[in-house]
Amino acid sequence: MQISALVLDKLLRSVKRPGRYTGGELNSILKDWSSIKVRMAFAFPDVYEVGMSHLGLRILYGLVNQHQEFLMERVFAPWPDMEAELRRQEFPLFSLESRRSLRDFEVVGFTLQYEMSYTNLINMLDLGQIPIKSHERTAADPLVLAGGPGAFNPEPLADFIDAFVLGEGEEVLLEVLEVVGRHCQKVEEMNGEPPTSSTAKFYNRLDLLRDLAQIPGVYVPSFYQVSYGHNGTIEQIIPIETVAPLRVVRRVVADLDRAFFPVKPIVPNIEVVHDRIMLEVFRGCQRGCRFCQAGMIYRPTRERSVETLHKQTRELIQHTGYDEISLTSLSTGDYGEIQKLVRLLLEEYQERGIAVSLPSLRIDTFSVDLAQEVQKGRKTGLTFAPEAGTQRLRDVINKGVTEENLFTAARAAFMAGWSSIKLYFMIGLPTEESQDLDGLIFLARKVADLGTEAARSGRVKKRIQVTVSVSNFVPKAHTPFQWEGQEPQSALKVKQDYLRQGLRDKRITYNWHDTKLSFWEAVLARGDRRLGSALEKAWRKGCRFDGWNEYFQPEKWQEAMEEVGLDPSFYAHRQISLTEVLPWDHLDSGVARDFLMAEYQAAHDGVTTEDCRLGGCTACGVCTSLGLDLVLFGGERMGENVPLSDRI
Amino acid sequence: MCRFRIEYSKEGAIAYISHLDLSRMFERAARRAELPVALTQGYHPHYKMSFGSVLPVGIEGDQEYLDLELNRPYPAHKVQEALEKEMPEGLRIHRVKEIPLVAPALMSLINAASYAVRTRVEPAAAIHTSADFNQRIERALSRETWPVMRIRKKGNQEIDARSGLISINLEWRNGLVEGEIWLRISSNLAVRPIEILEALEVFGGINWLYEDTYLRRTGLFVLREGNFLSPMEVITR
Ligand code: SF4
Repeated sequence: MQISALVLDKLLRSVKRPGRYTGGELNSILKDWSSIKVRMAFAFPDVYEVGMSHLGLRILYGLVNQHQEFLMERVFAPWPDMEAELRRQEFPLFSLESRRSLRDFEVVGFTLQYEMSYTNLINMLDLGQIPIKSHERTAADPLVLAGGPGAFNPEPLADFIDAFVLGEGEEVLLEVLEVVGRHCQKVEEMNGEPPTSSTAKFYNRLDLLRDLAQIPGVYVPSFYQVSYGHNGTIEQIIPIETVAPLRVVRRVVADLDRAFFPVKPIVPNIEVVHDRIMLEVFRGCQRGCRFCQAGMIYRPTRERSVETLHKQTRELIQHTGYDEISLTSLSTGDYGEIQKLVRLLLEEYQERGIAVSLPSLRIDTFSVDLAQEVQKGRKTGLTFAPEAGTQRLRDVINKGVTEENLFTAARAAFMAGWSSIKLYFMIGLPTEESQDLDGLIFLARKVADLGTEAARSGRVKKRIQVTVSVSNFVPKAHTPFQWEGQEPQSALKVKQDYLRQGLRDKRITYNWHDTKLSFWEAVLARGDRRLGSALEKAWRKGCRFDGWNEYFQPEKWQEAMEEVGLDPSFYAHRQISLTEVLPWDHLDSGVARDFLMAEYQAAHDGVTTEDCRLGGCTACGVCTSLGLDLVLFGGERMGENVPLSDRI
Repeated sequence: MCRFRIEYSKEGAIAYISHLDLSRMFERAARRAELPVALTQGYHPHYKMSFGSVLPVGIEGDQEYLDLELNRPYPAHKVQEALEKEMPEGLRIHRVKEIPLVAPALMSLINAASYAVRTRVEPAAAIHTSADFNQRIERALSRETWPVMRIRKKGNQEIDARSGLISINLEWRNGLVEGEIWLRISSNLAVRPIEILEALEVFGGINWLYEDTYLRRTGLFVLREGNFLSPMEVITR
């Protein structure tokens, strides 16, 4: 079903921010449906402004649409006002390009960026007139895929998703679409005509899933059986289809310079969260902070060359007209040739009023110098993330930053004229004690004092402002802290109160995270597939946009869990034993379980592990198991000349 | 330095983007076209670009205006070509004309707007003939003032919609109403067309079906001695 321009106009008149639903943005691609073999909708389970800021969407949209026989269109979670209109008038959720119902596509692929968007995912399927449960779908329904970091613990969504893609989409997606294409072809040949939205799209759904399960990196959850012991823990996870591998291994792009990168991204008509050029300088991060999932599941670090980036920037500016280039990665200060790159870009673009921004910097004077170079007169605030208050705890979490680093960097920043600094911390970390909280307070106050000093000496003109943002630790799959329980909300609240008292200072703004939200994040982050029924219940009770304060309804989640007889605390709070089977044990991020265990042990011993690009291979296993060479700082390759077979 | 006046239209779904988004859109188009647009001074340099009159979200515009300053001489037709190529769906450049640097800003020049209206009357209003409809319009027009509430975030404000009305010409046909509204624009009051309809409802007893109401701004003018002139023609005061 296609929504007409007239109907769209009616809908747009009755919602807030109608620009979210109009489509037709610069560089968006509308193909002729009749000439296409496989049509895929990229579904982002959050609102347009958030989804359009996502680099993965830009990459896959460009990649798939480059191919003649495929097309990709976009769909985002409708804001509650739009959902109400769609439901009231019985219109399906539609894509932005051709304004077709989700169910018209052969493939609907979700990206899982955040646990608290899962009810939106279910809601989008329902609004798109697709049965929400995988087993209820017929050959006339689209194939429902999901990828992104959430796919590394996909179990809570096992009931709803036909197949997950583990790892980097640009490496796998085309292979998936090829296979889907073959199955579509078959049914077309049999019927002598292309499928419509009510006729079969595939010859046989099970056959399709069987073929997909043979693509490395594709995980079909219905092909695995999970059994549970008396105490509710998992006994075993076994494949029940012969084609399903024992372990599904993540796919990675080996050479980022040769990987597809979109130089003609869509330019939204309305302002989105990241409304600028996002230049991906590298992927992965090997600093090895033990709480950080991104630092594990995107290993190893792969850099783009300065030449490639320079060329991409030129084309990006030509095709978008943006006035800001953001150098993105997990930790941009770690890019090998950051200085060279920044200089090059500034030289070429500063005069034209195009700014360069560095969103994720290290805590050192080098970074402050860089920031100063790019920000010139307009100092918008610097962010540092020491994460924990004492050296002891920073060693536990392996955050390689010292007090001295922070003070030196903060002093340099104030002296250079910055008046506002933001500090990120986490509480509820394993082994945390009250000294660590005192340490946090001390650091924040000391940074403020450094600001006051600079102000006295006349280096800072504006009022000193230190923003302290404190989040709550959430244990994540495939990290050394996956076995650690989250602290109970009551304990976290006591800590938050303690910090509020301690940070009472007119120079300091203290922000904290809702413990309820962190709790449900932890439940889903470590959940198994039994949670599926609770998710469905929560959605039926009206849960949507759970990550948005104004819509989050924790009581409904609680009710949903109770009704299906599950205890959320079992998932969030429990200290998991190292020998237990984890819900994601059959999924392989490339980082060895042994390495994670050794890191867990090292954390409890207070021993740090250095970034392998600086201190030599730490045997996380990713390069060997995924068959990659690691490029060290200075361009030297690790394991060069050593045949892969000898390295394992 | 040189300055250009640009006439454009905004049509279709793009009418649903805000003025701020529209101005960003023009900035990016100019950057893609590699026009040497002059920048303002300061830490946050902006393009030297100024618009005629803000178009309310959701309303299409047939003849809208914008001034753009470049920092070196450039033929007007080249500016037009460059921009035309870069316009997103729904935006069209009609004319580009070079104007003196010292010419008064569009904002201070434009003082009138015309709107096309297409709407329906609620059946409950019980209007059965065009004579009845016209009578109600007359009744409203016979009042000297039309006080209506303007709802704003920082406190509501009472405005006199009548003082912003230049003329009105609406025709009723079996519940369907079509016609034109001409409004004054001044620095202290720019009455919105929807406020005129509200006033006609309050003071003429014509209940509209707002969800079936379509408005489009057909023009912006310099009203001088009773003549409606185009800001493309009238450059100076
Ligand atoms: S620096 Fe630490 S927190 Fe940041 S991405 Fe790397 S591992 Fe994660």
